[in-house]
Amino acid sequence: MFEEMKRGSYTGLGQFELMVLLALMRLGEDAYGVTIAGELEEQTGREVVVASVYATLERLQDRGLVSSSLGESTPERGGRAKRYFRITGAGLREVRDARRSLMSLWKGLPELKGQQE
Amino acid sequence: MSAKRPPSLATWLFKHFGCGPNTEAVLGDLSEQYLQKNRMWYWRQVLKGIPVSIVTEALGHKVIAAKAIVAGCIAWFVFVAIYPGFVYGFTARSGPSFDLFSYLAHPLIAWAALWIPVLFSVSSPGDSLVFQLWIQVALPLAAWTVCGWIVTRVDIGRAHRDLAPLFAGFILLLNLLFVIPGLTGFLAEFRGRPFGPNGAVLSIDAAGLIALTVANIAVSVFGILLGGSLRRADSADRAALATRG
Repeated sequence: MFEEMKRGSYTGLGQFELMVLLALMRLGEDAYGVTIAGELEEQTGREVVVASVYATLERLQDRGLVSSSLGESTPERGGRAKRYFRITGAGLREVRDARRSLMSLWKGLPELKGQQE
Repeated sequence: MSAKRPPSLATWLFKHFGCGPNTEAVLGDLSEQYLQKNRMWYWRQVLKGIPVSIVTEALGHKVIAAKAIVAGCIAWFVFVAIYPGFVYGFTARSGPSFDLFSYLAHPLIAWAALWIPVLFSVSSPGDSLVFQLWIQVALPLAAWTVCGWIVTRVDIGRAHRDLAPLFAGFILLLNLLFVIPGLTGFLAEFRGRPFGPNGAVLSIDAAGLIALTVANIAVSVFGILLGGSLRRADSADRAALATRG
């Protein structure tokens, strides 16, 4: 990753982008707007704007890190179809890279010693 | 037992102001989640979601967004240039001869061509209500509608790009950032004193001027969205015809 940064080709993941990708991995086949927002709210304890989730997913899809497909429409959705999202192989690699770089940045920081990881 | 239905005004707002290909999916998700939430939550989601979708759309398609904004602004400035002719010509009114370019040369007015209709309406307080509505609402509304229609033509042939809400958002932002603060300063400097090449006198008070500006902003946003919806209806008609054919 650091090599990519030096070359200028590293685009990286923002914090919210990483959180959305991790939520997709947790949810598997059942990842669509409602469940992704619910998962993020449960894990962070903060209200999530559904439109922000979609904005992030669209950005990730443009970069080839997630794929989407239209699902069924239900009466409680006002007849509107669900849009399911899945993480792609490239997305998975990006998450692994982010984890590796964050872990190496985390290591050996005296301020974080003794805290639960 | 009847199903819990989300606030229809909020849904309408998101449907017409929200940008991008995910509007329907977001509304579906909000409707589904609303069964466990309340009205406040729904309104929060809509009011925060609209700017998010506009900014996302603009950043995601920078060139198209820039083209749409430039096209809309050019269309508006063309209207501003012919506006005095409409006002005085169509009403057979003996107005002062009006030189737009010397008017715009005034340093305080040059940037504020957006609210020239406001200046016109306040500089002639003796006019009838019909005349006021004509110059202040009907003409700008028609012009903004044309602007909205033109803006959506920039992206002709492409699906899922609602450029009218994007342009409406841009105009709204421009108004909030520059026009309202500018008007307040302008009012403080020129109230009761002649200004511009026509020597018009600003006789309206601050509250009246702000009310007129807010009305103008509402007219601009509504007109652009109206123009955009004409384009969408046009596309839907053509798609329906193609399907039938």
